[in-house]
Amino acid sequence: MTVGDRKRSSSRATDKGVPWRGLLGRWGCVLVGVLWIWAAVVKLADPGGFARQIEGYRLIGAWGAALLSVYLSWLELVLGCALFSVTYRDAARWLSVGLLMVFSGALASAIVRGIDVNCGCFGTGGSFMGAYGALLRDVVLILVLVRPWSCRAEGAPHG
Amino acid sequence: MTRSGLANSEMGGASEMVGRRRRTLRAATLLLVLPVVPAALTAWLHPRRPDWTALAVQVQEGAVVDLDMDQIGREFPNVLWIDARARTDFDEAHVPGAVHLDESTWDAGFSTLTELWDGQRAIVVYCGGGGCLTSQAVARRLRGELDFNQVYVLRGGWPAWSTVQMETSGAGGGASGGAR
Repeated sequence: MTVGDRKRSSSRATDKGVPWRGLLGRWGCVLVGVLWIWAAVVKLADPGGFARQIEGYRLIGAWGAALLSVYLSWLELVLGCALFSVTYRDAARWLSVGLLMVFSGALASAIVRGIDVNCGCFGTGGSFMGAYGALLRDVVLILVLVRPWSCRAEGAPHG
Repeated sequence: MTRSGLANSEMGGASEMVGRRRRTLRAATLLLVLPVVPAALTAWLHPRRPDWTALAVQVQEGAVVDLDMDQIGREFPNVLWIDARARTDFDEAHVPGAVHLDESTWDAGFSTLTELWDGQRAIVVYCGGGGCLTSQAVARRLRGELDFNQVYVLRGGWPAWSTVQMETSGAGGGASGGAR
């Protein structure tokens, strides 16, 4: 039995001991994947509007915001789909954590600077959570993804 | 299992982990590169793509992006309106809550604006429509003096706003007159 096998078997034992861990482990990636795809589809409907939302954070200029708006929308779609794939799940999981950390940083920075931003997380439709709610949601999603028992499926490769 | 067997197994496990990390890194690189082509196509062909021409002009000449009424309603429901038309036109009718500001009466209008503006609301400038350039000039100057990027110009100017008002509230209750 290799080190990896021992870790996996220990993790499964833990999952059995605490049922919600297994449930979250199995559905955590699905939840984040669905959210990424939803956010991407909404943003792809109006990339120009999303660019102005990014510009509203006053962290980058209009050109940077415009380029980011089209790239981020597709990156979210790719990550959302990859979280459903056994082969790319692990990479997508860590990239998602990185992206969510960037989003959280931008939101926190806007809050600290007193900028009343429309989150832009789900396009130009307006935020139903506000900046604090969006920040909290991002932190929760990061926690869902970074837990060692998260995003695991029986027999699937994971790190 | 013997001690040497266990050591070999540990080494095998370590190399397996290194291999898995490399695979993850390769997959992550692929996932980061994959969106580039569809993003480029979106930037080029999407009907609601960012307005690259306006951005290019903005960078070259300091011009301000213009938005239509739909975009303003959708993205900035709580804007501060600036009326850059002649004072007589403003007195006749203007967008409710709008501040009159043009180059000839800049100081008076600008002080009213600073009293009303909270430092966060997007600002939209309009003029008489039909290709008038006053709103661009006023918006550009405002952006510089307020050091604020979210200053836009209403595409189509006053006629565009009046038309939308007439469509939404009936021909009689359209453009608001004299609101201050």
